[in-house]
Amino acid sequence: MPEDQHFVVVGASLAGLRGAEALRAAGYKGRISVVGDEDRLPYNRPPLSKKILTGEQAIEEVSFPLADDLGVDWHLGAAATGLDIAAQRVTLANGTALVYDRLLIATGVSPIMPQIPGRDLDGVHVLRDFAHAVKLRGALTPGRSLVILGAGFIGCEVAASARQMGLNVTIVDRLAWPMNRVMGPEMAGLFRTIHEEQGVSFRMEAAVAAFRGEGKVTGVELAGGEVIPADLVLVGVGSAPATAWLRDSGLVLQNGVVCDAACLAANGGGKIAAAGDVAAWPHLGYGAEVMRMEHWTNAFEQGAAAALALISDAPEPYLPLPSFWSDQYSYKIQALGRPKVDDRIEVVAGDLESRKFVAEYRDDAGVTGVLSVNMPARIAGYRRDLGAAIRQRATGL
Amino acid sequence: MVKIHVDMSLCEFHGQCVFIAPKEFRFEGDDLVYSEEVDEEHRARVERAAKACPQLAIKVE
Ligand SMILES: Cc1cc2nc3c(=O)[nH]c(=O)nc-3n(C[C@H](O)[C@H](O)[C@H](O)COP(=O)(O)OP(=O)(O)OC[C@H]3O[C@@H](n4cnc5c(N)ncnc54)[C@H](O)[C@@H]3O)c2cc1C
Ligand code: SF4
Repeated sequence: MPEDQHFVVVGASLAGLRGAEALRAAGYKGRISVVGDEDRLPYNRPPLSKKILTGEQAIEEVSFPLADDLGVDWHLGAAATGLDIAAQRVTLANGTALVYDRLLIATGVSPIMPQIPGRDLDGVHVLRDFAHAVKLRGALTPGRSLVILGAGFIGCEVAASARQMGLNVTIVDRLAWPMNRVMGPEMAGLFRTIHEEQGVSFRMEAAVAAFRGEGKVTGVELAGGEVIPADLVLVGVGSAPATAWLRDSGLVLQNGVVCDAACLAANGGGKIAAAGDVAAWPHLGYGAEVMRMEHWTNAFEQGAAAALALISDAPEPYLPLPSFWSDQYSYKIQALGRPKVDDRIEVVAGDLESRKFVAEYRDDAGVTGVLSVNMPARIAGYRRDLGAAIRQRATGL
Repeated sequence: MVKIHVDMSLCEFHGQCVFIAPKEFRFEGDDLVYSEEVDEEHRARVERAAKACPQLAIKVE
């Protein structure tokens, strides 16, 4: 790409930063502008539900290190509000208009707040960004009661952190098992037991009818009428792609910005790509199934891949190995691949009783995924093998 | 020489570094061990590993 070009990134976080870094590493010398609606430089989100809440890590330590020669014009505290594809222009809430030659969309996701009465009460929290984490951390006082709506990874991580801080914790979910979507019922059952041993109460297959309180939340009312006392509530029921600003753009929005196999946005004319939590693309290693991932390693890799696709003459399909980790209490959970609900699970190292094991998920074609708890050493080998299998399925090589 | 330091109070042993730079980082049992000094020619790989650490635990000088 010639040097007088302007590369604009919207979303100043992991995927966006990785995009800018990859351009520089590839020798791109033109202008790069990065737009972010938060008023701070890119920072790392995973600690926000873990060591930041317990105080084991100072919140200032989450900033990503930035190379001195990155050469980025930052537009921070400035939300993008519109995109005009024909004019190649992004407009910002502060009135600025940025004309781009290439555009990388990396606006991530926003937490979903269900339409539950009382959701505006003080003490009802969500957790996605720095400001949320500061607020939540300030409310985690020992002895208080925290009710968590949603037994996904964020909910379970906050439950673990809050128990370590000495709060009473109850998790409520419509589903039967925590973290079920990723692990399957057998493994999810193990994690429920671990949380229960640590003192967490579960109300599974329960619906929340209302948050109770005057000005400030004091309880969570379940559909049957029972009220669980609460000094604070965390709503962690999932996230939605942050695409409201693209609504009238002409891009295809369907559970994210729809892209081709190389992360180039549909209707973007080869000049727009998307990466990270906001991007949906057909994964050629999985029969072109359209995927959208909300995991760190994907945002890290896809940010670079999508940016490079925009300056390449022959963009390559993006073929990541799905990968995820979570830390709860002393348990380090790592998951690779894409197991299906009816895959067989076999423990191949360690054992469930000691909570230190590697389990393979298998179907008739072979290993579909791996779950490891407190056995990180084995994961690098699987990462290599499963990654190679994906590339082979996609390219036949 | 390239100097490597891992802040073990931040490391969660997820092994991104081991995957990217297996010559410099490896697991021994459940411990992460790493070379504290490596030749300049390996700088690019070590810096890639540091970038890929989700805990921002690896410092490279
Ligand atoms: C508390 C927490 C814990 C997590 N823990 C783990 C974990 O243990 N393991 C794991 O694999 N993953 C984890 N994740 C997920 C991981 O952090 C995300 O996958 C990653 O941050 C995605 O990066 P991204 O750049 O795509 O999006 P984001 O990090 O969401 O960044 C998007 C940015 O764009 C901004 N933005 C949105 N709309 C606009 C707009 N219109 N204009 C300008 N800017 C806009 C947002 O404010 C945000 O700053 C965690 C996430 C959270 C929140
Ligand atoms: S990548 Fe970072 S957190 Fe993971 S093992 Fe290496 S140093 Fe530790």
